[in-house]
Amino acid sequence: MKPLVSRWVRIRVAFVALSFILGLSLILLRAVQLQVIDQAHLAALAERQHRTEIQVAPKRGPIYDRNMQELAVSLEVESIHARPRELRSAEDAAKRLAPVVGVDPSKLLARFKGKSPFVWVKRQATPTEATAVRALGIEGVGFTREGRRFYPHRSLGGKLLGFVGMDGEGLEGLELQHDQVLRGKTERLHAMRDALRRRILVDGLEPGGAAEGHGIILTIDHAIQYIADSAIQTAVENARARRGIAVVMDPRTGDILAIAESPGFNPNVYAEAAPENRHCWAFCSTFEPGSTFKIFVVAAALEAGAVRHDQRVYCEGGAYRVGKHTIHDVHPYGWLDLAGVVKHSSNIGALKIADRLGTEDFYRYIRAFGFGSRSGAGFPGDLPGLLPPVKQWKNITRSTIAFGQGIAVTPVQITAAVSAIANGGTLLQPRLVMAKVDQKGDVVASYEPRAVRRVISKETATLLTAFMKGVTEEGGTGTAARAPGYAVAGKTGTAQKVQEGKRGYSSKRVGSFIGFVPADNPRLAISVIIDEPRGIPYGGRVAAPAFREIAEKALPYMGVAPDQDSPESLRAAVEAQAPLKARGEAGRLPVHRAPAAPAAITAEGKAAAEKAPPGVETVALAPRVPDFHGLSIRDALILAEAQNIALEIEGSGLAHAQSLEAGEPLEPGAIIKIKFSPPGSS
Amino acid sequence: MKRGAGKGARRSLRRWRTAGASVLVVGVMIVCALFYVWARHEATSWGYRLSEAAQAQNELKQANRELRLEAASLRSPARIESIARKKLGLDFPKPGQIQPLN
Repeated sequence: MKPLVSRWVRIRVAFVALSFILGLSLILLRAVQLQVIDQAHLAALAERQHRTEIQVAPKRGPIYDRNMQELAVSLEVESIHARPRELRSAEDAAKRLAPVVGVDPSKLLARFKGKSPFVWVKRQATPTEATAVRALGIEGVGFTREGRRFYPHRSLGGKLLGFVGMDGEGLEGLELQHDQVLRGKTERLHAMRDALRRRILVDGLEPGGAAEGHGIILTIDHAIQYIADSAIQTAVENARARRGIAVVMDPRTGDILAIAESPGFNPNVYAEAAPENRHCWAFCSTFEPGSTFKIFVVAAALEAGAVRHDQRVYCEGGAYRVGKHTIHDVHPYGWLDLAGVVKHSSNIGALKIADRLGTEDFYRYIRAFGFGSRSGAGFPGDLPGLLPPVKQWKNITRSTIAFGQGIAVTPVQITAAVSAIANGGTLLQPRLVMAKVDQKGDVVASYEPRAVRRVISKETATLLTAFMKGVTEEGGTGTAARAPGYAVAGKTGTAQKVQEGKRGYSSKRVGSFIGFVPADNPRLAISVIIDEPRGIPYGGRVAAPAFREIAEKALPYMGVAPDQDSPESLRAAVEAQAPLKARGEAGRLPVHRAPAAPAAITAEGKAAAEKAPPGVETVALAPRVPDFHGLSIRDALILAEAQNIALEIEGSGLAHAQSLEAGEPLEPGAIIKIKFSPPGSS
Repeated sequence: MKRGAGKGARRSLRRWRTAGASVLVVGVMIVCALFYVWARHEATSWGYRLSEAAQAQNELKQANRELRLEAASLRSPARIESIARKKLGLDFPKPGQIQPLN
């Protein structure tokens, strides 16, 4: 029995051992298959399951003005989407979502019933909308983050900035022109995902801001842009015009400081604007300049030596025949010198000057001033204007171009040309972008002002400046452009408009004023164009006031002090000081009548005090506290300074309380505390 | 007997040494394996933290952009002019009111 049992045990042991060996062999074989034979395929499958490639959407770079004020910035906002197949009830979802996102329920339902497995409910929703939709908790509705462009100053410079489409692509203006720079690149980032689909960054952090586009710094100054916007809007309203354009340039550098247009448009809601109102007309539209062009005719003739600066031209008493056409002046003139031709804007004088210059030279100088060529500022749709080649000129062409008809220019072109006169004769390429910056604000590329060519000599430019100053002086056509305290050199223009789709001119007009200020040290070259004004259409009436408004507000902002001795400055100074003087007289009456405290110790003062009746001299000799109530801080300081009083100021706005009552005797060295508060708050 | 006893002791000693070496090897292997697991766990844990930090960074950047946008809106010249005119009773300075400081 024992050997039998022992044998059976051995067999069982052998069987178990064999089973183990077999099992382990199978496992080993399977391991070899998985780890060696199918390794590559399975590793790839695992990689796909655990690792994920995250696409970091590019953030569009900001647009700054020349003082680094943000004009356009991008933010991530939530877009709401739906997967119709995951919706329990499309009808119910559409009904609940529609009022929250402000979309028609039938439209939403049509989207949900369509074939697409993914539909947008609302792209770039507001935070309120996203929160409300999230609160509904509808299954199958999800959220995606997308970049959205914001323009914090709304319509300020909107035409110039352009706008960005839903997918973040620049569609108009500088957004389009610099799309590649601003847009940035989509970055790919490797990470792992856990069972809950959470992201694990095993390969380190995403490169800091690498996906963010570069920012651009414009030459625009948002404060001057605002001034120009307000001025052009007022001018268009007053003239009941179809539209208005103002271009403000620094004639020393060619920097465009502002381009204002009315009607403007708000790029935050670009879809609401008519397509034709989204274009920047300063670059993308042309107009016949009319009489403003005469300054270039005179400049060319002087430079070419075709006329002398003291030469006189006979203006034919107001009518002059050229071929079968008769050219008229608005007012009849006889002999006029060059300054007179510019000041009185004589068409006949200008065409006679152009005759002396000759067609070839005339054309050459027109081109040299930049007309007939794109401005080169780098703006989409920048037009070259319309200047036919000489061989296409008819007999009358030279004469009409001499007074600005038969040639079409862009507002930017003519501003650059007048800047050439302002800066002493050099045509500068208009500059819109100063630099490109990375996300830290470090400059990665900068663009310097560029001189295109010298067009006229400094002497000619000086003569032209003197002629143009005459336009804004008494008897000139542009007196409304005079900015108090600043000498203005300019020229008015009123041009007929070509009939659309027909030959000849319509009854519609374009009134304009171009010039620079201060005339002898120009800091601003400004063009104002008012298209189709109703009523009196003259540039001197409809455009010159806007020029004045821009100049008188922008120059002090730029730190350009007005001429203190000009009649306007003196008048304004007297007007500004009058109320203060009256108040000071009342407050410090005794000071005027008798010297203040120190008088008591001078011989004369002592004598006067001794002569006065007892008890009266103290009152008569002591200075009194002025009444500061209702004064601004600035006025209070002026008043205090005039009386040598120390002030302690609290708050801002207008004075509503003072520590010493008005009229009280003022102790020497006393400090008066004055409380200021905004009007209406106390 | 003495010779037999010495052989037995040597054999026993050898066995103990072999066993000790085996335990040491296994111990080292276990420590290595534990270290590997710990390192993997740490890497994953840091991956999570990094991911959270990146998320927080993105949120802060977004908040920063939102604040900058708000600040830019508040600096709007139209708004400032409105406050200056209506609340503070200010106006653009006239030529006689401008004093150059140089």
